[in-house]
Amino acid sequence: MPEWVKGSIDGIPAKAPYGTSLLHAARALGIDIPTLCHHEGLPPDGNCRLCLCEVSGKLVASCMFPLRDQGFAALTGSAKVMDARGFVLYLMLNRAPKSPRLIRLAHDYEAYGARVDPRFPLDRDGCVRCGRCARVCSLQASEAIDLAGRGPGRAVLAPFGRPPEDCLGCLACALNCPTGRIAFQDDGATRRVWDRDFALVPCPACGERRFTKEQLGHLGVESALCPECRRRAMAREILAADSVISYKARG
Amino acid sequence: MKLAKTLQLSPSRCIGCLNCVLACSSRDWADHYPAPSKINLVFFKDGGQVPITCFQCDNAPCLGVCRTGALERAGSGVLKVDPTRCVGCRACVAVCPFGNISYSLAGKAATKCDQCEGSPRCALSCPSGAIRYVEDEDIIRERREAFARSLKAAGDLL
Repeated sequence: MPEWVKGSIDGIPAKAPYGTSLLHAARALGIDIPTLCHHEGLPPDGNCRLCLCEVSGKLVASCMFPLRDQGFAALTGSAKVMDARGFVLYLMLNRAPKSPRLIRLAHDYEAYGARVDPRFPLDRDGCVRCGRCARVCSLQASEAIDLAGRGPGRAVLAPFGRPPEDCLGCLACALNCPTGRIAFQDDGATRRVWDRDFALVPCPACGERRFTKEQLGHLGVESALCPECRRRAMAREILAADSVISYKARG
Repeated sequence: MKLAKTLQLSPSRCIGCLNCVLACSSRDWADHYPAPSKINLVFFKDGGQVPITCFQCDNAPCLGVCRTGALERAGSGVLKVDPTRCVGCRACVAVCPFGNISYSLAGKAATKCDQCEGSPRCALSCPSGAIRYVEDEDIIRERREAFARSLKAAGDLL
């Protein structure tokens, strides 16, 4: 197994550590490849297909295409690639015609001819089935939601379509949805997401409600104090000890 | 050899001018805007104020709960957030025992003190020496001297 692979991306000579994804190699060269479901902190899943590129005449999802062959020749903007991405955008716009991000992408890539097809029988619920929310959720050790079903009926669901028992109410799914369709409400006392209500635990000192009971329980946090009050408690200790604190870091 | 440096905070020297907070906030923001500052001054009604920021714990709870690798310990020992990897679950905010990491909605990532990668703005802007960025050697010497002074004060019992 060679340590480095050499080749070219859009004709620009490229050298990358063996197994680097084409997406990362291209971005390192300053070549922009649009992505929706990619997140640096998550394992690649290749669901949205927006990052399609051409390698040796074949279309590949660049986010999970590892560079392993010497002399690879990747194209990120060939006619074939633009066509394919246009089709992907067209399909996704039929799911989420109102997503600002998709509309912007369709505008940027005017050549894609992205449009909503009135004949499409799909549920226009705003979800493009990229599964980014489910991947984020699986990291919280809860896996409260996941992609379920097949074909046109595939959707992100909580088990049995009921309010998810394992949900922590952390809202990371909603925050990472590329189309912003995961609805939640937070009125400062309760939080509602995936049809489930979460009571926010009040800080015993100031009453500020920041986290759900499930979040604190999952993380094993004993103190329900809000971060500001924890800081205050620590500061009080420091003041009482009248000590000099060394911030240990070997900077 | 370059000696390791440490951010040192002496609350008794703090005059509460908030320069550190403003200097810190100007790093990520073009303007001075205290809210996103990573160093904070805690004021007490009965007198006194304490500048407080991330302790860069050895056994850091935030590092333990981060599942995406967004929080990393740099070679210098400082804990840093890679904003591109943060998914915003806020577990780190919930577990920090000292409230020294926060989540920035604007930056869509957790933010914390990384000691400005070697030239902390808070220390540079502190007029009273309450926040200093000093070599470990100096701290040890100071402690030694303080101990010696306390011995002297206690008399020649030794």
